[in-house]
Amino acid sequence: MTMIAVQEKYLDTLKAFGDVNAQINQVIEDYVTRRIIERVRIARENTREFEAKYAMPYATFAERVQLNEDFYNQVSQANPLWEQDALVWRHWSEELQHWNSELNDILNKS
Amino acid sequence: MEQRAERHFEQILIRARQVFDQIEILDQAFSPVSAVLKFRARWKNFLIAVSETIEADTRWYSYYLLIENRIAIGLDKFSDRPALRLKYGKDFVKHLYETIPHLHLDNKRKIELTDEKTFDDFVKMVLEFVE
Repeated sequence: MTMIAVQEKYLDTLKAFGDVNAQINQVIEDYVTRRIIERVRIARENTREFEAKYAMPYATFAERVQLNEDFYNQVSQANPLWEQDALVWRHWSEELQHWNSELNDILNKS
Repeated sequence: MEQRAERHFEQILIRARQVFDQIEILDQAFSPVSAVLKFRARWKNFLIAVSETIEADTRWYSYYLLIENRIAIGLDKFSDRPALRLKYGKDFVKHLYETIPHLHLDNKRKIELTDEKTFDDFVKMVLEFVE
């Protein structure tokens, strides 16, 4: 548990509505949830761009480009700069996974 | 991690602006788990294409020099079948998930293994290539 300083003028009003700690934690949870949802939305938008281009999710792409020689050759032929895409795509996939997991943690605790 | 990545990308962009023209940042984002930078630039009649991501313990990069859509220099640190085959021979399938620094030349018709490169190394290669 970490101490957070709250301005007196808010503290008095909060007391009027009940348990101050509970209210502050609820406000923080709502705020963090909104911020995480925004991050999920941005990551989803960015991954969609690559999923449309390569017609598959990143995990499938990463596996096939490593394991399948024919697929590797096709991708290299069609998109000679595929490594550039793959790096950025990987980032946004990691982001999506991370923020979805954070969101699930918060929702499961509530 | 975010601050370290931010400083690192800032250094890359400072160097890029010193040497190249028409820098266009296509993606730049930071988070606790990963950071990404992607940009394009022009230099003489060449196109410079750069992508780099940083995770907690790994840096991945893809630095390319193109002329008329042909790849003159392609420095990657990524898992790549031909590069792994070059390093491990027929046993390369045991290493398919390994990231490997490598260099594509002659529109990807040639490939060489390299040690890990930085953006500064790439800039030097570009300048030497054109001279």
